[in-house]
Formats: sequence, structure tokens, C-alpha cells
Amino acid sequence: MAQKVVVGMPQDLDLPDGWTFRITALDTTGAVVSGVKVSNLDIIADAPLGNVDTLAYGPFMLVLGPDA
Amino acid sequence: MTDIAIRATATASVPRDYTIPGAQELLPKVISASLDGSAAATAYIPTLQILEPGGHVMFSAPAQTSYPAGASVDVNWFPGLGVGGTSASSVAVVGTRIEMHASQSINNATNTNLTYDTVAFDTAGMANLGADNRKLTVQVSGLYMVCIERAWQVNATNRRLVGLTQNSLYGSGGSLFADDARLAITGGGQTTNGLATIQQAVVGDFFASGANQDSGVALTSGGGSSEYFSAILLGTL
Repeated sequence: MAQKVVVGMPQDLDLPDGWTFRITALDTTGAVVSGVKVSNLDIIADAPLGNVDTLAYGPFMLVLGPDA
Repeated sequence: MTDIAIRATATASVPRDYTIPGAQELLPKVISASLDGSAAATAYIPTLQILEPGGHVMFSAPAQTSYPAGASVDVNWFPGLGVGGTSASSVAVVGTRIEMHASQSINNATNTNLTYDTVAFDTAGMANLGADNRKLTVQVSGLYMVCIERAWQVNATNRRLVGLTQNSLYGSGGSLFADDARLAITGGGQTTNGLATIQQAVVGDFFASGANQDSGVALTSGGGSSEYFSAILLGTL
């Protein structure tokens, strides 16, 4: 069973196009550890500019909330 | 404003990127992912990084601890918890300590950049010794406790100096914002310089260290775990 981990990130992030979220696994030198797999990547966010369909591309799908 | 979820369920090797597409803007509320370390080559630290459009990492949010090869974790990144994560029984330390386990030669009367070869810990994502073994690059703006210690080859002649720079290198003419200068110990024994100071820095700044000695000959420094350089985040402003 996977361990549950909670980690902090900066508050009030407001990122425009071109910025990237990256999920990775590093060793203590900062190098990427080979063999680690990531799945079920979820980014829950506000999209103030609307037109949210454009946020889904490639392997990423968009799941709208119940009020959408 | 309605929350949206951008989701990728398929499994892929790390790193896994999501770049905000054109004419869009996101205010993230939570980011979650499952990491499977069953085939990991070594112990690993689950980490969220945020990259600017040029591809440079502007912020790293590593988990508080590393997980052994074979372990799997479900990670949630929430804003405002404190970088590095918290738990009910501990306070996350955000900081980096690098050490010099090999000897470094420092020429007489020469401002010299100090180098490091070992990362003792790096929960702040400040060290990248493969790219530059002199610097600690700030990932979170705030006040830092910056410390350094260096022991010298036994020599009783004249002065030893060790100091800290910010956004410059001592060997290239950079100015020290803190330093420890002292006369060498006589009667045998190593002379050791050490200092601790508090310094403000913003994302992208770097700290570095330098040394100078005027014994008349080249001296070595480093070679033990007491030769270190560290920066610990005290808090944001």
C-alpha cells in the first residue's frame, strides 16, 4: 500500500502559459532517479481566463467540476 | 470560479510535465500524483518543480524525506503548508548542506572559490553540484541562516580567511557579505575558520564561499565532514 504524503507548495501561485508543473523523483544530489513511475497526476486549479477546453492536450484530459 | 481538474491517469516515467498552454492561466489549488518506486534505482524524494517558460526550475517542493527503492507514495501538494511538507510530529527543515570530503588546494594570497563534492542534505533544492559545485541557488525567497566551516592544513604562518558571497564569486572579484579572518594557530594543530550569519535572498539568488590565506605557500583545505557550507531557510518575509 502506498504511503500518503502531504507536501507544501507556494501560496497564491498565478501562472500564465508557458510555465510548467513537473512531477519528478530526485536523489539527494538533485539527479532524477531512474525507474520511478508516476500515474494519476491531477492538477486542481482555477482557470480565470475560461476557455478551459484548451487546457486538455496530449495525455492530459479535463474534468470539469459539478457546477460547470 | 469553478475548479477544474487536469488529469493524466496513464503511467509514465518521471519526470512528468504539464505545460500551461497558450493564452491560459492557472491558479493551482492542489496537485496530486502517485509514484511507484518498485523499479527505482535508488531511494528517491518525490518532488514538484515549477519551471519558467525557458525551462529553468524556479521552485522545487520536495517531500520531507526520501523513500527507499521499492516504496510507493501518493503525494498531495497543497499551498501554504510550508515548503517541504509538514507532519503532526515534525517541522520541515528547508535547507541545504554541502561538504568537501576531498582536499582543495588554495594558493598563497589568492582569492579562491571554495568547492564541494558531497550533498549532506538538500530539502530546499539548492544544490546541483554536477552543474556548479560552488553555489547554493535560492528556490524560496526569505531569510537564510548561512554557515560555513573550513579547516586548513597545519601551518602557523600569517592569516586565514573564509567568507560568503551572494550572486558573485570571490575568485572573480566578488565581495564578501560575511567573513571570518584569523591568525593561524601556532604550536601545531589545524586552524579552522567558521561563521554563521543571516542573509536575505530571493528566488534565483545564489550563495557561494571563498577563501584566502597568506602563509607564503599553497595550503590544502577540506577532506573531512567539518568542511561544510549550508543555508537554512528561517522564514519568508
